[in-house]
Amino acid sequence: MLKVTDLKKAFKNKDGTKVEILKKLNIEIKKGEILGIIGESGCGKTTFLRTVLRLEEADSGSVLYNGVDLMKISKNEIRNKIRRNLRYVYQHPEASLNPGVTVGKSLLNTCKLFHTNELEKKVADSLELVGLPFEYKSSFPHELSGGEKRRAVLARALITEPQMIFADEPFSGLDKILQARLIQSFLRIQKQRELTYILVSHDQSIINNISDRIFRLQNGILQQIKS
Amino acid sequence: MSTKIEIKDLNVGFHSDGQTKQVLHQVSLIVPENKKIGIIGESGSGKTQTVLSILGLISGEPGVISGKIKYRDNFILDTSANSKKQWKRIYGEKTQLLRGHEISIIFQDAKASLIPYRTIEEQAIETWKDLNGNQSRLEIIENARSLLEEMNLSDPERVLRSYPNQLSGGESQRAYIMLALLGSPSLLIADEPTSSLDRENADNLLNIIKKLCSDKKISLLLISHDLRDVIEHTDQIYVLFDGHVLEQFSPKNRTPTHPYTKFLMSMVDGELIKELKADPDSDNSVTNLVQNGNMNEKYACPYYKFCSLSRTLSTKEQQKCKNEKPSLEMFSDNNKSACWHDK
Repeated sequence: MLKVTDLKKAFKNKDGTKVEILKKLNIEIKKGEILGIIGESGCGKTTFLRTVLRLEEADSGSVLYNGVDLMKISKNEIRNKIRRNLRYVYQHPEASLNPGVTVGKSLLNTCKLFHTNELEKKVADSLELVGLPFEYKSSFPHELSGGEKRRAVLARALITEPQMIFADEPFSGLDKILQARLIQSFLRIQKQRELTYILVSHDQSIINNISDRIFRLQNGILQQIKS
Repeated sequence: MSTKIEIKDLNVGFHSDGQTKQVLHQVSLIVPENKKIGIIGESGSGKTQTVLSILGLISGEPGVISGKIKYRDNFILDTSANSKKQWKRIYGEKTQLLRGHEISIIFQDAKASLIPYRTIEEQAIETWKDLNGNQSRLEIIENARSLLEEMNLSDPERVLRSYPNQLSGGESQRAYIMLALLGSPSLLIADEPTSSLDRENADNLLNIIKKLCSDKKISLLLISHDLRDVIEHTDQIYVLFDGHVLEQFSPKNRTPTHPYTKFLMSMVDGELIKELKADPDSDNSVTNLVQNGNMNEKYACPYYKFCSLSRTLSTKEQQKCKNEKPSLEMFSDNNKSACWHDK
């Protein structure tokens, strides 16, 4: 479904020296798979997700998605054809929800970006899918708890009916009861929609048990540690 | 066995939005001499408030509402004995005498707790002065050096001469623990010392703390939100949830029975996630995560709303959970779980 070949990304330090975050990274992801990525903080897990999705430009390499090389097509094409299928769930839900906009409106805006119809129904379905009551569409982000915010950003990612979800630390900062429920939602949705997940997390006990395959990102290279 | 600290029926609360929100409900806890006791709970469960009450460091009003705390055979807090003004004064005076001398505490972030513009040596001397100690400068430094050596630091002299920013994470943690132990306390409280560490480093640090406590006959009160920490490193565990002690058990002698502790165990060993992965809609006593009753309602059993065991019970049994509060004292010594139905 997604094939990453020789992906490279380096950043420049303040003093001009180059730091290679991703060196020749290779990975192939199959449909319906849950892929776990672990690694020390600062090893480039987030950079990897962002580069694959072209939220960050890679230095070289290719990312084939259903036969199309994401690195070669224009930003416009990415926006119009790819974004709705490959969705990114940010690490910090507080920072990714607009504080002045209700959850429902936030979902609607996302729908509109992708010109989908039956907007209201989509919002209702999406909220139901992640287990948020429909009334929450009129709530502002600050009125939600940590776990509810995480559900809201997941609902926003799901509203375009994507094929893949790239989630950056989706379970962190929650207490165990909320974590368990969110994991249940993730797995339910995956089953219903045959979704493919790429999950980045530092919580080994969750990653070990939720993932089909696990890779460790270290020194810019992905190494498989569980198959 | 003699008792070092005994907390009995402690209630603590704070004013918020014109009401008093109680954060500890009838909490009782015993730390015997030379034992390692663990407190486990999520954020907001009252772990830190419980240990701050031992040190008399609860700030805010009304703070301690009622309860007793005994240090060795001395009451440092007894709200039933005197007028409020009197017991507050005695509580303040007695805990001040204990802090640093008899009881020391270390917090989560070692780097943030060290003074950035003083060397470790200067901080050791300053700590000692604060404790009104009468050792000479050389003796204090020697004491600090030998403590650092006991924590497997190969180059304690360099650490003593360093500023905190020159130390690695592990070194600053050891320096911080050294400062806490300078006053030769008989009880060390460690408040989530491992929360920013991975498993391996967490175990290393806890092994060091444990060994020091055993060698120097110091009792340890270890607070954590990770069940693995307390199961591996303590003799007796208290499980806190929303300000209530739900279960007390010794990890060596008994597997926990309370639905909440069992839930935490299943998250730690991954059983719950494995089961959900096999079937996200599976509906047994652990995987049923749907909420019970009304979120805004208060039930007698604090865990009722989340309890997966209660869903397997009859309506009559559920009524008991809703209306009668189970407490540890109601059950025999070897099965201290505040649950009506897990026996």
